Amino acid sequence: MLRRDWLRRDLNTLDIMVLARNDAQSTYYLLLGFIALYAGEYTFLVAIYAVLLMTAIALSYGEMGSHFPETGGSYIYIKYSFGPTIGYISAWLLALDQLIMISYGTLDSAIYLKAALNMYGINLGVPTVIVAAILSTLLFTVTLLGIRESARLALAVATLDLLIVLPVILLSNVLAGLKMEPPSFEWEGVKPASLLLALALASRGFTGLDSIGQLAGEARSPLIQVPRATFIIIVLMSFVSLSLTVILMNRVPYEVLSGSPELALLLIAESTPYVGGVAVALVAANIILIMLSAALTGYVAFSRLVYMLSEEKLLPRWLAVVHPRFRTPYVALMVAYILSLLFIAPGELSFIVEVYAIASLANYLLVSMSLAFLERRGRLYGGFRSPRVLGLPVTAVMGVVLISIGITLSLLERYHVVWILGPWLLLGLLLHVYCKSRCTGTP
Amino acid sequence: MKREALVLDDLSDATVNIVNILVENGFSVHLITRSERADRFLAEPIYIHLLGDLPTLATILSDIDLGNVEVALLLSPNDEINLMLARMLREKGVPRVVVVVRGSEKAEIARELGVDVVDLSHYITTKIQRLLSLKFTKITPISRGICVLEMLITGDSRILGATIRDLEEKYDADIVVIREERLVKDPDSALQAGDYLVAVGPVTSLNELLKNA
Repeated sequence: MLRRDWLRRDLNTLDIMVLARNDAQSTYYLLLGFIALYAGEYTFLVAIYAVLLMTAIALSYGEMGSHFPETGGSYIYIKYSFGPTIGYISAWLLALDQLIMISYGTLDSAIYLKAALNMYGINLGVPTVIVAAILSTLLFTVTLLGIRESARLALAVATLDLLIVLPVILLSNVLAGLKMEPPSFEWEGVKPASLLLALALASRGFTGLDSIGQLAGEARSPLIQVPRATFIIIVLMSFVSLSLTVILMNRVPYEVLSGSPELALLLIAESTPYVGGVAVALVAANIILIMLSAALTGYVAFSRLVYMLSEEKLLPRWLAVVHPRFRTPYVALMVAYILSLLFIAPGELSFIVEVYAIASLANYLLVSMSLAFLERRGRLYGGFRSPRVLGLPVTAVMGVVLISIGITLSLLERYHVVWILGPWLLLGLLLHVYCKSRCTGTP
Repeated sequence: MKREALVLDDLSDATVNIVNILVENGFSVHLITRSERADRFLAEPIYIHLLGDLPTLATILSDIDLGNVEVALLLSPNDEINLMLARMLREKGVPRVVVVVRGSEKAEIARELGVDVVDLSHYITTKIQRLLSLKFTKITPISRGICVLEMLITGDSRILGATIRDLEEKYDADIVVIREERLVKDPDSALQAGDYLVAVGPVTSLNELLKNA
C-alpha cells in the first residue's frame, strides 16, 4: 500500500519570505547593540560588512534553492556535491543553531517584555527563564498545529515589524533631521572597544537565512519561489538594518547604549522624536513578536531538518513520524521543545550570543562551495542563474570569500566557546554510526 | 516514507500533465528533459535534470538515489533511448518501469525486459479508425478463454439491422453498443452504421461473431 504522509505544499513566496526574513532579521536586532558596543565609530562600516555577507549567503541559498524542491536545504545541497556524510555533519551542526534560535528568541522576548513593563512601572514578578519557557511551550503548540498556521503568524509579525520600523521609527527620525555624515555620524571619536569582536559578531548578524532552504519542501513552486523570496529578503533586510544603524548612531549616545546593549532597539525608540512614548510600546511589542517569530522558525526549521535526516535513514526513523491529523512531524517538534528548555534554563543571553551561529557559518561556506560544484556538473536545472566569473557563479565566489573571512574572525574571537560544538558533533556522529546499521523500515 | 518517480520527457504536454499528477500524489519527481523544455516545468516542485550532449543518461542516473525510485516512466519519442534506459533501471532494481514504444517488435523487446509497455502505434491506429469510421475490430483476452470484442459497425456490415438480443442469443455473449456517445443496452435495439459494439464472451463465440460480421 502506498503511504501518503508527505508534508503539505502550502507556502507561497510571501510565506517563505517572512519566515526566513523574521529569523535572520531577529539576529541583527539581537546583535546590533553588541556590534555597536564593540565597533564604536566604525559601527556603520561593520554593518555594511554584515549586509554584504548576508547578501552573499542569501544569494548562494537562493541559487541553490532554485534547483532543489525538497525539505532539507543545505543537507540536500551539500549531499549532492560532497556526499551524504559531509551533508549530514553540516546539517547536524546547523540543527544546534536552530535549537539555540528557539532559546534566544524566547529568552530575548521575555527580556524585552519585562523591560517594557518596567518602563511603565509594572513588575512582572516572574523570573525571565519561566516567561521564556512559557513562550516556548506556546510556540511548540502553534507549530504542532501546522506550518500554514505558523506562516500566517509570521506574516502578521513581519507586517507589524515593517509597519512599526519603517513609518514610525524611520520617518520620525528622518523628519526630525539626521546627521548624514558616514561612517561615524554622531559617534565621531568613539573608539572601538574591539573591532575584531564587532566584526566577528557581524559575521553572524543575519544567521537564520538557511531556513529558506528548509521550507522548499512545503512551497508550492520552490524552484521559482525560493529565489524570489531571497531577493525580497536581501532588499528589505539591507534597508532596515542599515537605516536602524544610522539612527542608533544619530540618536543614542554611546554611553547610554553601553549600559544595556541588548535593548538597543528600545533605546532607539525611546530617543525617537515626536513619538517617543508610543514608539517604545510599539517597538517593545514588535521585538517581542519578531523574536517569537524567529523562535517559531527555529521550531519549523529544526523539526523539518530532523524529519528529513530521519527519512534519509541518518537518524532514528521514529523522529520522522507525522501527526495523523495535523500532518506535522510532532516527535521532532517535541525533541526541539525539550532541548530548547535546556538552553533556556541557564537564562544567559550573552552566552547564547557567543556560541550562536559559528556552526552555521561553516554550513554556509559548504553551501557556497556546493553551488560552485553544482555549476561544474551542470546537470541540474534551476530557476535562478547568477552571472559567471571564471566559469563559476558569482554568488558562490562571493560566498566563499566573505564567509571564509567571517569564519576566521569568529574563530579568532570565539575560540574559547568553540568546544561546545564538540559534544554536539560527537552525539551526531554516534547517532549516525548507530543508524548506519539499524535505521531501516518505516517510521 | 519518501516516494520518488523518474520521468523521461516525451517533449509534449503529456509529460507536463503526468508530472503534475505524480506531484499531486505525493511523489518526489526527477524529470529528465532537454534544456529548451526546462522552463516549462519550473513551477512544479520537481528536480529537473538536463539531458545535454555531454552528460550521458548514466551520469544523470548517478545523481539520483535509485533505491528510492518506485516508478520510472520512459516517455521519450525515441524508442531506443526508452528501451536502453528501461534495461538500466531494471538492472538497478527499480521495481516498476513503464516504457512507451511504437510497434509490436519494440513492445516485445520491452516485455522481455519485464517492464510495462504502452504501444503508441496501437493507440494511434485505433484513434484514426474511430475518427474516420473505418472498419475496426479488436479482441482483448480477459481471463481463461473469456475475451472482450470491440468492433465498429460499418455500412457494409452483415450484422447491420440485427438486434442486440439476436446477437446475444446466437453467439452466447453479453453485448452493449455505444451510439453517439450514449450507451445502448436495450435488447431490441437494431445495429446501425457507426455503432461501436462491445461484446464479452468465450473467445470461440466472439471469433464466430467476427467472422460473420
